[in-house]
Amino acid sequence: MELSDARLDEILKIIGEKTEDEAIEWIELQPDKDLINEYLSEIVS
Amino acid sequence: MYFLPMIVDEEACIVMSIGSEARKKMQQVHGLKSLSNAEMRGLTVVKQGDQPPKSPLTEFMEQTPKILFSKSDIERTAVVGSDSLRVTIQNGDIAFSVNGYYSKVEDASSNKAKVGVRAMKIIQSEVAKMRDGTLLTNTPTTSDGIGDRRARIYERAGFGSPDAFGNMRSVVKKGKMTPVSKEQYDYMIENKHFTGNLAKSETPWF
Repeated sequence: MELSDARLDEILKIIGEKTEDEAIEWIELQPDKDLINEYLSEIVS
Repeated sequence: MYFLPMIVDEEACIVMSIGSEARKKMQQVHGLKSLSNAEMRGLTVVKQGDQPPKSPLTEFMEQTPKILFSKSDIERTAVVGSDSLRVTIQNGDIAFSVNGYYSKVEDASSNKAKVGVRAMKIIQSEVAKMRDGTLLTNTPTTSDGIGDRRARIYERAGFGSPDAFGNMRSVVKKGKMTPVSKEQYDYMIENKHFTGNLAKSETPWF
């Protein structure tokens, strides 16, 4: 399963605009949060 | 002196020049005050000295600040939950490691996502302080088999597409990262679109 470019752009934009805590809270509310977590973990892992 | 490009068929055109007398005659015939912007009967009049259209590479270069090769070393560390994050920017090259590893570890817990968010915030805050034109580079680790996917994330975050060696480039513009491809980078270097002297011995490895 992959995130679309549009979804990825949206996620990165929101992380850029929100504070760290707000961004994490937002991710937790997303229906595809597992996939988002997987992607974000790959940035640094 | 004016040039008249004449379309003679769909594939080709010819250009002829006309002198001042001929130009006056054409103005009279067509009742025009000036031929400089006239379009008539398939003839487009172009004033000599008009600039040819710029190439996309030239346009990109003109819209991009002169490249600045950073000589500074930045190191930021953070503890996020049970993970230790290290972010380094050495001579513009960005690298991340978590718990000492650069490649993916099996534990893809949600805490790793928090580490990812923290890393992005650190880069965001550091980039916001950088001078316009600062060159940033990154070479996503590929040893864990997900280098392409990682590169895609970096591309969406502001890096240009990876070159044949996996190197990615970005230039800081108004506190944000803007993607630069290898072709665009090479073009700017060839045209000396950088700040300071770039001696051969200092040519960046990327």
